[in-house]
Amino acid sequence: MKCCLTAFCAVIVSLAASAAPAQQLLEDFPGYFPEEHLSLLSADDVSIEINLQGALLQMVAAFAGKEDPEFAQLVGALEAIRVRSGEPSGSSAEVRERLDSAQRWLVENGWLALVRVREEGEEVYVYSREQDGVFVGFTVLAVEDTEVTTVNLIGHLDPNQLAAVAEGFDLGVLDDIDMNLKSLSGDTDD
Amino acid sequence: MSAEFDAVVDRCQRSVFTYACYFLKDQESAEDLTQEVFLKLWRHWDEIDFERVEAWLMRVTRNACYDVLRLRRTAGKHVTVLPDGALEAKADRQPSPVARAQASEVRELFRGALDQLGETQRSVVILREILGYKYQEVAEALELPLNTVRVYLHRGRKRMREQLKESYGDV
Amino acid sequence: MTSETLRCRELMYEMEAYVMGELDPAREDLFAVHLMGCTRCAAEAGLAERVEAELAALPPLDAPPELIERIKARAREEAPATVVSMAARRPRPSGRSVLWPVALAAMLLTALALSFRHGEVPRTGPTAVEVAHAEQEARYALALVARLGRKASTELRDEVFMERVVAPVGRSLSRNPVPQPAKPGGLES
Repeated sequence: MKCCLTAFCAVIVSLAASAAPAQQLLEDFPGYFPEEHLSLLSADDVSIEINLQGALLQMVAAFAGKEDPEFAQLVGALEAIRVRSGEPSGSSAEVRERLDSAQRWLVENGWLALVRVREEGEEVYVYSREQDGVFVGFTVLAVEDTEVTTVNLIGHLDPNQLAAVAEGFDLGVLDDIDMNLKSLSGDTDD
Repeated sequence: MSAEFDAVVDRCQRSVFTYACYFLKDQESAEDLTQEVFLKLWRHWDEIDFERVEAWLMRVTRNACYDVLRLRRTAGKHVTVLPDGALEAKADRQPSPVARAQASEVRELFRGALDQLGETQRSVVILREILGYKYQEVAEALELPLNTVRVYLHRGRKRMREQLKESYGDV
Repeated sequence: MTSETLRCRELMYEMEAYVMGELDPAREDLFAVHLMGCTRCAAEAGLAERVEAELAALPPLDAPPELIERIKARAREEAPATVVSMAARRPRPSGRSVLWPVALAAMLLTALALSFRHGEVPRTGPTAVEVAHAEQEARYALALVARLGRKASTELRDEVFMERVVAPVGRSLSRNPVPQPAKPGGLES
């Protein structure tokens, strides 16, 4: 009996082990944007942080596949989705310098500025990273008055999906979202 | 469940139509957009959280307004027609003709100042000042952090103040 | 405590907060004192109050009754075969609710397997709750990209956006097709 149980357990454990292969470091991906190292936002400044990668993203794509195939296809092709948002500490001059430094880093490391929009209280900078002619990364830096947000998508980007999401032709992703911002940032509801 | 849908339409039509009118500055476009938004609600009825239907509607309305503006820019159109009486004050008394003329002139300037606001600032002003949304409700509808809503509102009003001053000096 | 005075520059920056009653009482008092002695700032405060009055006078607008009737009639024409009342509907789509017992069974099996082992406990895959939460986070991130992209694109003419974003991406795609993600194993929905 014990032999059967042991064999059964060995199968379970080996299946679990094989389903979670060692993950490539994010830093090794060319589409990676090291926001933390550039100190745009310190740990204390961050109010929203999202780090999704690897197998978890694949599972998200699998579960969403039937109900929302476009979302599933976009997510399934990504290696990681990273978001950090918050009010940076320091004077506005210091924050400006950190933003400029982040943009310098992007340009110096082969990222292409696609869009730069600046108006009072609002700035949006969109950068892409290509390797061997293929899109492998997408970074958005946004400033809305006191809030700084960075979004980094790493992986192979389907341009139809990305254009649709970026231009909002498919409002399914936006319209059906039922987000509770408090729960995402860890606060409890009243 | 069309009765339930009808109830939501009756309850929320004012918010949707008001936002569309003040944002697009054109009643005909606002009417088309209002219809489109509610039909979208009907088609997605099964997927929407009842507790948040109004926030959902305002998000869809905002996105649809942005789409209209983008199309207008491409077509080179600028529209400034508002429904009759849209900017008439809720007067309790009848002012004199002179006062009415002066008020009308300031109101024209004021309307122009509102039109000059950036889209996000205009959205915040419409939801908060005209529709009376609380800050948290504005934040949810426009997917903005709470502090940002407050700052946008202050900035929007400041810009309107500056434009009034430029156009009219001391009021 | 030494008395503090405000400069005109500070007032200009916080004028709206003052008029809207959003300053703390101490600061509000400093404002009031400054306004009593500064005609320029007092004039600005008058303008700010005028803005407030004009905004308060802007009426919300009701859609024309015929439009409302038209909307309701169109919806009835489009009525699908079954529509579930919002009040009667279950909190979440049913496809996800079956994951709970499956996830629980998987966790129990794994725990049972591990109880016969010595040494380090191996890491299990993400739970159904973690995957559902991750999906919410992914949707939020993409909605954020959409909103920021939409904001950026409304500031540009559409052809600039097409030329700078969509076309280069399309060219890269035609050279190198996007690899299809492998079908994941693990829990089935």
